[in-house]
Amino acid sequence: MKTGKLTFTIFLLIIFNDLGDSLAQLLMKKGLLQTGIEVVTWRTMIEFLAHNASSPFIWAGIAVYALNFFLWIVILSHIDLSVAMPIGSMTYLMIPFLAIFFLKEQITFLRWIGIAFIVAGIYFVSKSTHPSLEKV
Amino acid sequence: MVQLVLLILVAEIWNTTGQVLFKKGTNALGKPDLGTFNSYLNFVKKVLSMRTIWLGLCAMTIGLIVWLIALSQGDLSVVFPLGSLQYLLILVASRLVLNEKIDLTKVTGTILVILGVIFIVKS
Repeated sequence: MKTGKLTFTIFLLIIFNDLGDSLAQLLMKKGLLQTGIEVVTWRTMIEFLAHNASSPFIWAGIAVYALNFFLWIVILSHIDLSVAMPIGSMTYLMIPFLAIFFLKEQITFLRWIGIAFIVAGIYFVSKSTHPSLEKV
Repeated sequence: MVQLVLLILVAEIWNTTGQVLFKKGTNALGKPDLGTFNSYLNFVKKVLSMRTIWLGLCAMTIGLIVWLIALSQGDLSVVFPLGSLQYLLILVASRLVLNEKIDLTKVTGTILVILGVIFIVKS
């Protein structure tokens, strides 16, 4: 199919998409931390849902996810899925940083290595799109 | 263990199917003109009127449910690293179903991302 060039704008859009994804997960995590139900079984499912249905954090998370879906569709209408997907792994970079600031979590050495691998991977995938083949 | 791996694979196949359907949808849609708020609204309307997009959303939902079942049953240190295989499946599906161009650089980059994800979720 038509292969779109990975432009700076699209790259930025993917960053926004990843940020949205991370933000949504963070909001949900914050919401879930407040509900106080640790193990969800079939029995506690209703209680779990009822508890979370009143959480503004959970709803904010869902809203961000919904908006993000359309952003993802915009991104896919410009570049290949095989490019968009690996670059979308930036979520894995953002969540640790957001987790440090908002959830006060720690980052281990192994995690830094993982972050380095992902950055290198994203670099290679970005390099693999050939502007010369563009028709737009 | 075998059952868990299969479960994760099933979840990922559904997710991949969803993504491929999204991409098929946008391929049919063409590049959107998003200059104004109205054009964005039109784009959203068009997207929501497409069957492939809805099928994609259904596939993603099934994938999410299977994924949650895997999460609830499995050792997270197994489930999460295996989750990174998603990138490999997407790569294969992009080539086979969407005819996207896959070169060595892209493969290298995807493998690095997979390794990175494994390191992060294992730590």
